[in-house]
Amino acid sequence: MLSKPISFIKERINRYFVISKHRTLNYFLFTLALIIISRLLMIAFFISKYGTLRDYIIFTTSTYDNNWFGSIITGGYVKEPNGHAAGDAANWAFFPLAPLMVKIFSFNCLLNYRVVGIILNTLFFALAITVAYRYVTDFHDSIKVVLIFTAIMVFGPFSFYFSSLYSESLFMLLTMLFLYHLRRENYILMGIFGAALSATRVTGVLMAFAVLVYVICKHVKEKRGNVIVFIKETLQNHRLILGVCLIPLGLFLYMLYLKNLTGDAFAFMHIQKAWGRHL
Amino acid sequence: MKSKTKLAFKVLAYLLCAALMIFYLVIFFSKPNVSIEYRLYYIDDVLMDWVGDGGLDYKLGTPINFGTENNDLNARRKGRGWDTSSANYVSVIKNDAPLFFTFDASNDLICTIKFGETNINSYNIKANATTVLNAAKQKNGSVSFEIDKSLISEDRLLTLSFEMDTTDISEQPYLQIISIVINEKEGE
Repeated sequence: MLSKPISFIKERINRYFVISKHRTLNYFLFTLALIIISRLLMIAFFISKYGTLRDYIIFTTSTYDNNWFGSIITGGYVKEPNGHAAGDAANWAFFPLAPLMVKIFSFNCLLNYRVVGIILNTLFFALAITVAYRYVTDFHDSIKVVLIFTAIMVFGPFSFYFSSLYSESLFMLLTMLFLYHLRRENYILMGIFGAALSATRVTGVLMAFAVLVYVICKHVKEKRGNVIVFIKETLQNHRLILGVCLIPLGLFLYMLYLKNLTGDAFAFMHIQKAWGRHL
Repeated sequence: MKSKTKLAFKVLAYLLCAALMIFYLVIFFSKPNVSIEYRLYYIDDVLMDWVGDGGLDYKLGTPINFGTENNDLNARRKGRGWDTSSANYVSVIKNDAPLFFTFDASNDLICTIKFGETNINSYNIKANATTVLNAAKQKNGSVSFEIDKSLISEDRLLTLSFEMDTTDISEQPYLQIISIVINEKEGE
């Protein structure tokens, strides 16, 4: 009974997401449609239980760390700690690229930055899933895997974070772009996305280890020789070396900014004490 | 020609890598240029309360009363090793529990501490790691002692720390401190 509809769906998936010349655009629009459906379901659930659409927007953009991102968007980084009841918290813990994107696209808060933030991060989320689609279909030829991945990401219970002011959406998009270009061995482009990653969250700088794992695995798989050969070939690959050197650039530019602002290049790390974490 | 361009790009790439690495090392090893309060609280993690830049400044001659009923900014200069739960005093419960002060002093100092109860044998008091009072036994009363002005560090910081002799003490040791005042000794 179900075989006809299933065949129809399979045929459509194949036509639009595997064979079509515009398969990437098709998948992006498909993902965006799914995200809109998921958000409408969330809004409907919220309105039925807790409040209005305005309350929903405030809930997703003005609670928890959203307020910290909001403070950076509207007022920039503070010179001295003054947050929390103890007065020892500051927005230095939150890296600049995500709030900067919202600030730019809201024309320096001329538009409502909360609404712009929701739309922008939702677009980043859809783009991130689309890049993941390209990665899986280009290198693993499995549309089934990416459809399951899309469903889990879009309809998972914590998916609302990807439509808030948090940096999750941008970080996910940049991670996908980084890994895609690493796999394509476009190392300089990979490095540029790596620099953007380390300007979005401090953990972005750890992607350098992803590069290391990739080149080691490639070397072993292709049986290219011993450790000495590996080191020699790696160091001679100037694109790879430059790409890896670019990854920490975002983090260190932010550290330079903090050094000028507060006198402490590691202020983003030291301020974690206000959240009960001393590193 | 094409190979020359390739070579030029290769050299440029390695020069850029070197420049980036130098930039990263310069930033990484740069010394913080911050207030004493910031350094003690965020970097060294020895100050318990954030008092703000300049919050450890002490006006010589001002008495500081401790306890939850007196927990104004002036009393929030404690490090680790204090029990701060009582209303009218604080207790040293671990060795080297510090109190931090910043001030300018042109003469030697007289420090007067009013102690409460204690269960320990005796205690030493150190000023910036130099013992200024040795094997004191005073409780339920005041103790005064001198601090040489040369003990105050270049960044105007004075750290008073308390070292307890807990030999044969089986229970939690404590030394109650009710108030403290530091005065400048009159010049000779």
